[in-house]
Amino acid sequence: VTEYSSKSHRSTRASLRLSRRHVLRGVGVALTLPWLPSLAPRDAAAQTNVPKRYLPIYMPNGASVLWWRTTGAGAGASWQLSPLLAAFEPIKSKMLLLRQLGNFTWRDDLLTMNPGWTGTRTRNDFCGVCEMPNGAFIVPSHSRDPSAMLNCIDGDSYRSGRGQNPASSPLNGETVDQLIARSMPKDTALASMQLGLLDGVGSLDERHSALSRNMSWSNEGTPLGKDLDPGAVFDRIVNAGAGSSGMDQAAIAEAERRRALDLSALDAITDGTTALQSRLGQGDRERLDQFLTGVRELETKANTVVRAQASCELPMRPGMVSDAPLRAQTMNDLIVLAFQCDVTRVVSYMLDNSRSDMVYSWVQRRDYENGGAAVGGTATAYHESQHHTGTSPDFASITRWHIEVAADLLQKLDAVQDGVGEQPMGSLLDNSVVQFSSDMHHGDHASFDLPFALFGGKGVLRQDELVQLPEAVEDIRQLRDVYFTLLNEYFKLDVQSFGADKRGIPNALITEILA
Amino acid sequence: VAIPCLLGLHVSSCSSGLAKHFSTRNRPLVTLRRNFNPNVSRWASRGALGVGLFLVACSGEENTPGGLLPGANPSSVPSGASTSEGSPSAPTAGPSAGAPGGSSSNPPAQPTGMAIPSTAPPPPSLDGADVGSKVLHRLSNVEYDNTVNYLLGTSRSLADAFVHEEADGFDNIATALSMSPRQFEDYFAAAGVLADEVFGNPALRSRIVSCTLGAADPTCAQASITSFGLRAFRRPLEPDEQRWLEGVYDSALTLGETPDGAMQHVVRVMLSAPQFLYRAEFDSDLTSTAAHPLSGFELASRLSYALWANMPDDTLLSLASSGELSQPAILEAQVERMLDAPAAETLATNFASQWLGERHLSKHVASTSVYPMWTTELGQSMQREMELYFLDFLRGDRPYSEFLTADFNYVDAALAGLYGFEPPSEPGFSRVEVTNDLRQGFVGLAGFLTHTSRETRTSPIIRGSWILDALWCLKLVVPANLVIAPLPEPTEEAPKTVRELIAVHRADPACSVCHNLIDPIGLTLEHFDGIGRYREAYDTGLAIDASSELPSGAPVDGLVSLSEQVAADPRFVPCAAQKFNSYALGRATTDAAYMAAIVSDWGRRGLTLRNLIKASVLSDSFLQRRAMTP
Repeated sequence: VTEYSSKSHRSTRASLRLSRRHVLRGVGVALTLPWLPSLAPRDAAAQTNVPKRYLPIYMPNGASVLWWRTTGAGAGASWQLSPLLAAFEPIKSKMLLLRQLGNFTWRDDLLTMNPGWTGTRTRNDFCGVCEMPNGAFIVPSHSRDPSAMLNCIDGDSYRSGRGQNPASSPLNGETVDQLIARSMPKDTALASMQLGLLDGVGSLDERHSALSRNMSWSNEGTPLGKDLDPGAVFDRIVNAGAGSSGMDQAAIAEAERRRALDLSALDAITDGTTALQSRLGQGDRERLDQFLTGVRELETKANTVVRAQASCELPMRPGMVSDAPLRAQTMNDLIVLAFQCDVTRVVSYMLDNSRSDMVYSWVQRRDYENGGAAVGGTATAYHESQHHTGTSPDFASITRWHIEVAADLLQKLDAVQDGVGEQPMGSLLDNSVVQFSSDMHHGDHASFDLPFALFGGKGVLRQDELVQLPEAVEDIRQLRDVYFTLLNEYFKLDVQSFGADKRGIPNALITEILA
Repeated sequence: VAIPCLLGLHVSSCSSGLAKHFSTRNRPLVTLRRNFNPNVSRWASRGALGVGLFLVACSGEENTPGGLLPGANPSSVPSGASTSEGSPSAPTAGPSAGAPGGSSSNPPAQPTGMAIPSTAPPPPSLDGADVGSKVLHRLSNVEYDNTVNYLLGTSRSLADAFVHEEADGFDNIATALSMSPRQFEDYFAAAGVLADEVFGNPALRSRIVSCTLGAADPTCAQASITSFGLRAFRRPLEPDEQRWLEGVYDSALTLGETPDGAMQHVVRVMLSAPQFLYRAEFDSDLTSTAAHPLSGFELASRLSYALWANMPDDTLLSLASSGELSQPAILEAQVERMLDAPAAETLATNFASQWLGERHLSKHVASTSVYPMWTTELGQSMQREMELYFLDFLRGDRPYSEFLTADFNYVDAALAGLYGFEPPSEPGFSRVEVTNDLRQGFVGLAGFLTHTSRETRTSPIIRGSWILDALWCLKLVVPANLVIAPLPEPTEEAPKTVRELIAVHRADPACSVCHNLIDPIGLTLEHFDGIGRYREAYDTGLAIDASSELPSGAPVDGLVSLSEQVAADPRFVPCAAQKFNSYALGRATTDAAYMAAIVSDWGRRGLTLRNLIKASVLSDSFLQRRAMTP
């Protein structure tokens, strides 16, 4: 599905010199993880090459109708946030809100889309049954839709095409974050990280759990999983070399010893795996090829001496935080830390699992239609609330909570400067594309008019703008084209096509989002 | 006439039904009965219909063979299986064997113990049946933790931090267990942690090294590798594996490690190796797809992971080594021994807990404002009662056919309070038989009634769907083209019962194809609230109507009659066999003919859970394998 060749592999290693002032701004929002400034640019190139990062944030189960109650359109003061999106007000100047975006051309059932269809719903309100004149319906699925969020393909066809059972196999096409991660210059210790905030359980909609609880798939089709424990995330950042510039000689010698043993062990595991493969049939050999990919990736990591790369100081290791709001702040801090220490430039972040039925007991029910006053009680189970009608305070309040988590992260990213003090390169956010989106519109499960916002991407993406894309069904702009635009125009990768369109329509740039 | 509910192997069997389905809304609805042929042997249909059923709620053409499960087509059903005459433990069906397809609307005369017809059909034919292949099977997270702790003597739960994967209702389905780079990283890190612990603890180290490592005794490293290899890889090391691991030891010495450090390095490598992390089974001829028996060691692993979710113990490894394990009498004796061992409790905590939903209680949330009695501890008590209830059947003589109708409970003080029983005289759980109430059987357990409820209310739909899937193996698949609109919400001024609220489902033909099956079952349980407490009426004061008519036409009213009908259905017993075989083999389906034979053998032995396990592991589908089609 995806063809690409990289245009540029030049080093874009960032400087991590930070002023005390920047750091204090960075921790001003939440003091769970106080960090300290890094000191020196790593190399001269850092002063001219700005890093590019990608951070997709996933909100499951669609958004409350109040998401769409924005006013105006266009740039700056000509548009205003909706009651729910108002949590983004402090970061609105770097926000690009897209309306009418769809992600459905990978589905056979929508090939029969009737051009004359105008819909039975008003787009700004509850969709009800999105029936089309010829009887086609929008597919509701909390497994198909999220698993197409970052690759825009039909995962069922992908699995079937590889001889896999579509229902029980976790395989899926490569996601855009992984395409970016393997195309970026290899000068961070980790190509990417996958994080999760909440681990709500709900029906798997008849497919493998990975399709509801995972966001990133490798180019070999394997789900990458995610870290839910802030301590484990911290360990990954540390193991990637962050904060290691101050190690003494004894510590360096011990690290060298461990590294040699790691490489020796990985080498031995490869030998043993290859020997086992020779005794197995084709299918099992291929399963062990996946295993060997993991061994090789770890070998690459062990071979990368990262101590000298990152120079940022580390906070205390966080433990597992059971309080959801505090855990959200901690996880957000860790993402900022990962970018700040430059251990990775691609992070995917699932705020909860698709069809999570977790009870959001820490969320006060509020009436966001009328100023956000508390209306008593706390929110109910997430997925159940999605199917409450209209402006249900439960669903609106849960949606709002996810928005607040993202807003916290965005402000933290914007508070930390990339680059050298004298020649600032902008904030971490400026040099990142942060995507906040869901795979479905609302309780209707519809995959058009997705909740979708981009932040950052300074210099390439428009800032502080509400972009109304075409509304007529045959003209609906597809999510795959957003990725196509980001890949080519922001990351400067020469991507010929991305995602699937069973109508055969080729990708096209969405120029409306470009500065 | 369209059959709204086709029994199909896969969703795609109705992919053509999109527009057609919704253009035929006015057609009369036909229930499942057309798919059940009452002339087919009851046993055979049990076996065949229990296999991998997916209920696809969509339209299709009547009697299209391609759209039906092979076994549901009478001509392809294996001819019936024999059962011992008059077996007291055989389940009953209505007078017409095809219920609910049969025309009977009469409940059976008695819930259990009905005699098998004397004209027993011949055993099912296995001609052309397929023992099946199985992909390389990674240890599940539970199996991983059990295995490392048994192997090393540790007591860690490292797999808690691993990726959790599940499909087809179980977390040990081989095809669903993947190996991403991140998972390998986790295994590699865990191996390091474990090796560190073992070599930092003389007692644990001595389980692996019982001689003096070092230049003075070069055979010590070799012997340690050989003996640890047998247990870690669950089979003797191949000569080239022995050489490989001795080389790993030497290379660590070359890197400057001490002999002890080098052996720790070997252990770390072995715990990260696919020979440990996967349960490999081998085909001597990869070009042939003919069935062949498993090796003794492969069989020992299948057996121990099925019954204990753990590696084989020394007894099993020894019997595997001598070849004796493959002898049916010895195998059967080992099953007996294993089921008597404490480790067999994993059948409750791992198998039944996924099959019947106990596991969900650990994450269940109920509203304390609606249910002031609810606490996390009460949820744990409910979970434990479900396990004890299952273990009562596993360890006792009671046949599975009574799983829904037996009238006993395991209660601690909290559960006794919930049930309105006398508190037990001793702390902990007591087995009680209270027969003067309306609670009985598995469906009456508070745990089941709770985990199938919402936070603040019951959900007849979740309850009904669970019963259909867990007890009849009827998995309802939402049609690929349907949006489920939310139900209207009642107002405080005009409260409605859940029966009234969900009536809209059965009024709409697009919904009723499934809800005609689900709702009548769920609605009969309305006398039990969202934490399984008995109630006479709703809190709103509205009366509870727990009467229904099942798809078979059988009238039911309340838990007791529902349980009798569900247990009497011909899908009930084969479904348990299907679930166990999915779990035991780690694959979603087993060949229909083998399933029929297993169910037949189970019936012949008497329907205890022990006999289900024996019939399953003595089947060639457990004892044999074949190479995958290239």
